[in-house]
Amino acid sequence: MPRPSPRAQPELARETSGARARRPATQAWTKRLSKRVVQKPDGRYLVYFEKI
Amino acid sequence: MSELRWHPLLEQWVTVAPWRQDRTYHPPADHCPLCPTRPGHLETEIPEPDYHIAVFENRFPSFTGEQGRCEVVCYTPVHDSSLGEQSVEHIRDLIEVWRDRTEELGRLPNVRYVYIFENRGEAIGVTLSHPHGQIYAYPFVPPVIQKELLAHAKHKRKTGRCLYCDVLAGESGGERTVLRDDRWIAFVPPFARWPYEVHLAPLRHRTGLLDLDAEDGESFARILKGLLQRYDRLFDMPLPYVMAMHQKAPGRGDADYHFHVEFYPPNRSRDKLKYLAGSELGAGAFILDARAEDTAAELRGL
Repeated sequence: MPRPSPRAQPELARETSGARARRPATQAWTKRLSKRVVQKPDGRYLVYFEKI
Repeated sequence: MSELRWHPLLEQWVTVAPWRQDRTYHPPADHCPLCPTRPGHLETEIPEPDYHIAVFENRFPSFTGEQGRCEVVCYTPVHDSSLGEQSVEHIRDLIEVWRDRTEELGRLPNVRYVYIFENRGEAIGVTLSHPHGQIYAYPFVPPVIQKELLAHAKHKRKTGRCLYCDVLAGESGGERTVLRDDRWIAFVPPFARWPYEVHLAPLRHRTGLLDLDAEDGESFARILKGLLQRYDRLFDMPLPYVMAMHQKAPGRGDADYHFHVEFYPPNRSRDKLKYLAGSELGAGAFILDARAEDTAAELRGL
């Protein structure tokens, strides 16, 4: 039985990096949170989102 | 790493992650891993004594490393609370967190889809009662999303219009509307598969969280809170549900896809659940014993 790659979904081709860059940025969203990333002892990350 | 096994009959991936069998199961409230760490007590997943909103990598992930990510989103440090009990301002902050994770996880090289969801209530199989949601960054586009993307593409080719925009146009009469403002609508879709299923959607064409502007965000927070309050008033109890965010796949040209959030509460009454059984599981054909127009009127009146 042929086993496709998880990426093989041809009808919905990935956007090129150029097309992605041309997409208008969302200017109107104002960030209200800051981000603080810490590493846990087992290597996993933890992100605190705090009020600016 | 998980093993991805291909289901050739359904043409979809099955993820095998045996270590998840040992995941934390209904810990007592004073040993909740999602609460902040209290001085003198055992350290939880969150070592600090307080937090606003916190996100961490799931200890029992379905996807990790090069495959993707699984994250837990702690909505609040307050254990006995819920998403619907948060202020509109706090929910708006949570939307900002969801945006951040969508962007960051969507940039990972092998991630093909960022899926934000919440399972609420024991009836759904929730093992931690602390208010939290999850994010799966998949190495493939999951089948439901894939099907919706293809339906949108097909409709666009045929009509030149967005499929979901046309679905929303069909709601202008308000018969199935639960609540709305000038930006967002909550409605029971005519094709609902669960008794109190509701969709939340931006009335303007938006492809995902990263497309939302400030006003969209405020409206989304208000409508989301309004729906969750109605859900908990429905049977005068915290209503279990699955919340599923459907947005475009990262870095792809899915401009015709329309962002929306689907809610599937399993209850058909206070003490009766709808189970997925023979027709739904074995044949994929949902049988529903409620009309969308009636359940929408019921929710709208609460």
